[in-house]
Amino acid sequence: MSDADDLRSSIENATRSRRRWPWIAGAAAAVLLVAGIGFAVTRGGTSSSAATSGEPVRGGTLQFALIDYQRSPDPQWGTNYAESLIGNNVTDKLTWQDPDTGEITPWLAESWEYNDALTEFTFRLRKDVTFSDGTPFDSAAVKANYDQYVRGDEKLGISPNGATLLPGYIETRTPDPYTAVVRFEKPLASFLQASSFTANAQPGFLALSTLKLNAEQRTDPTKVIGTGPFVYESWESQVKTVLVKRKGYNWAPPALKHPGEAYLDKIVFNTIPEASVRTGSLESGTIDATLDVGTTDEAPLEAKGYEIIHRGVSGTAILFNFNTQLFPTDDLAVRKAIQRGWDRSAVEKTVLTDSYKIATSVIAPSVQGYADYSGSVLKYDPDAARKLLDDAGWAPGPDGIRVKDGKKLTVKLLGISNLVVNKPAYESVQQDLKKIGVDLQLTVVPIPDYAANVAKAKTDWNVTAANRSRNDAAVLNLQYNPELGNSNFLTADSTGIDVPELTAALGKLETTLDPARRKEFAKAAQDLVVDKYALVNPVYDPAQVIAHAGYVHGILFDAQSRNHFVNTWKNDGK
Amino acid sequence: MTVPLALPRPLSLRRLGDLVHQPILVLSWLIVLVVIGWAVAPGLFTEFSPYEGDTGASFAPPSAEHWFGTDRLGRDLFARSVYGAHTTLTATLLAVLLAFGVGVLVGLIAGFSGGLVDTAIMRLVDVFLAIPSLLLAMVVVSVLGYSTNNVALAVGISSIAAFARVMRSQVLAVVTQDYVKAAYGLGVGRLGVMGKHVVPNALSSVIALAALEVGTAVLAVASLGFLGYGAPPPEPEWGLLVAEGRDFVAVHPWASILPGIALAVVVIATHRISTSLRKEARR
Repeated sequence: MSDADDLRSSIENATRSRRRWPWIAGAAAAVLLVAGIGFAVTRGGTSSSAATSGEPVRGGTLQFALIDYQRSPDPQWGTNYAESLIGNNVTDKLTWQDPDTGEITPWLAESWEYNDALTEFTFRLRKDVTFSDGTPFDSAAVKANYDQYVRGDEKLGISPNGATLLPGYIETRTPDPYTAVVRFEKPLASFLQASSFTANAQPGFLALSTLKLNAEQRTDPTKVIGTGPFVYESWESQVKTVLVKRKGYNWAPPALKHPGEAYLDKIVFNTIPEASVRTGSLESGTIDATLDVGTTDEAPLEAKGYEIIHRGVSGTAILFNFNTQLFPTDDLAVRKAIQRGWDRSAVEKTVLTDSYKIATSVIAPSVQGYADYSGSVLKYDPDAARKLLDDAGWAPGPDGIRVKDGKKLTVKLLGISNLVVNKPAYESVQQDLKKIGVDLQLTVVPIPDYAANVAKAKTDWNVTAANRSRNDAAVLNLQYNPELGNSNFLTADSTGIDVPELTAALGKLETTLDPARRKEFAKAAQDLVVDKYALVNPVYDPAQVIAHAGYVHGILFDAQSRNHFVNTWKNDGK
Repeated sequence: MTVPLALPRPLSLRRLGDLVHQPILVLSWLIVLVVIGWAVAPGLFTEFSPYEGDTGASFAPPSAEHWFGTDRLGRDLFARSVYGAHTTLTATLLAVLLAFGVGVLVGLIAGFSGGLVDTAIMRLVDVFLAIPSLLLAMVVVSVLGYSTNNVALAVGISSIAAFARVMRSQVLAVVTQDYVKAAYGLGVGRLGVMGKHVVPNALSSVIALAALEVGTAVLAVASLGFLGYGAPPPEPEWGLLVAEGRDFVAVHPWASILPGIALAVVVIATHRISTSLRKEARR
């Protein structure tokens, strides 16, 4: 730019200064660029991974990197990965879900029982738990938290963050200080899982003093008080969040078998938006571990001795949710053709690593009740897809894109660019769909732009592409029940879709905790959503991938694949 | 609005001969011509499709077959760069034409009118100059929506001020010349003087600036593409190509570097051409 300004002023002043050769500057810049890349490639080769595991070491600061940042320290409000992840280390939940079996185990609640109707859940609380401001964690705290979590507080500007997770919440009764009875209008089998929920808008307990604060006041991290293994030290939006160890913490989930306080003294969550910079920071030793590892960086990092740990996100796959109100996705044949019209193996080969999997149902295999559709409707079969479209009256137009009644088969997709895999995966689908005559138009944007556009999803977008974490088949109910998430914009008069049938099938998921019957209901719901009505085209099962130095140990993925650091330790002496 | 693109003086054989002594300038013109060729008839320069990849050849390094290598989906990056020239250069041309047309008109009115009109216009131009052009362009695209045409409009709007200012200063210099006074003395009207004497003589520097602005606009368009404001996928665009490659720059550096170098070379070439035009304008 300065060159340009030079020229402009020299034209205006009409001086005869001899200009330096612009290409020298250009060549120098190119050389620097190449040298910089070379440096990025070679550095880190010396980083030591000589650490040995063994007895956990106490102390030290973990420098952690991720792509997102916390927009507010309030964990009940958070809706991105950074927010839920950090919230998990500052607050605790009533129960802990085993990431492997899906079983609900004790945490702040030592035991619980529920009535046969699944409308009343009684929790017996631990008696030794305190918030970091010294106040006790008791049934009054449970009541105050759940009341505000479900209903919000208009005066304080607090949204009803838990309204969709706990539909039909009536009240929490407190017969004594360490017994809390949570009551619902209608059966809510998934509430036990919800009481352990660790993903977006999580029910982590906040001190009464925090609940009295408005949204603005909660941006002061020192006033956001939880019972968790870490407490806020500072929060700098878009830069970093610093947590320090909670002194006297002694109530990690019994399932973790973790004694006493967290091992680490401090964790710094650094926001680094660029994948290559996160990788470079890890290799240079600036950070100890990073989430959101670029897919192409996994293998080279592993080769250099860094450890790659990952877990598929339990919940839905990355989905194309179809808008059943908007042309042309109001046509069942179009939706079914899109499901069959793209080559899974191409996405697997070019875009995904071993950490990610092609979606074989609307929910991930780690969710209890998952059923596999890879052999039937979620199989690449371009001929079947073409036949579906032919039979429905879609004839190929002059440019290869099919036409019906003079209208083109153009499908507009709105997606999020925060996962590195999304855009190339969608582009691969786009390439294949073009071959069967479907014009998939992609708008893949950062989360704030997505949020702004999704408000007009009903009228403007045929497909919204996203996912939802929750390790319970009830996530289907949240997403697709016309009375809850209604991702397909179903109405009573939606053509070709028996809405009461769908509502009933999804609703059944909340009526029992018997594993066999739940599995049966989950299968019935998936049959409708994936097969019969083709409301969704699942693309891939997202994963959370961490690369860390060899001296870091015990980073834990929970049932929603969020990380807990209570067990984490490092032995590099820093 | 007519756009006088004629060089200040006609090319003669002798001056063509001069070019032999300026190999960089010749190279610059060649580069620009080739890139214009890419934009007009991309199919002549590459046999590969910019949209359809060979999934077996994902992340192939540069080779005799794939000059720039391939991207994640196995698409030939040279083909994507060639086809990307169309998107980028069309936007650039639109932007510069817009900035040139409006800027020249505004500068002419300000310089020729003088007084209050001049002050009002030029203070407005100052305000525009005070806003960083990329920021202004981002604001305009955000308001209008993401597309290549809007990017062109945004970049054009953000460069109007520079043209207006140069045009005005040239007009101010020309109107004091004796031949202009003589023309008035001979009874030529204001519009006549403006059309016959002021505009042609003031334009030469503005044309040199236009050539320079082409380079700047290519960069601005690519910057907006890099930030994701431009063409929707799978449309190739130079800035987008660089952006797409940056996530795996440590492992597959060519995916960003080669399109980046192509971009840099074009900008430098237009810069060199602009310098020569400026010298012409001074002769």
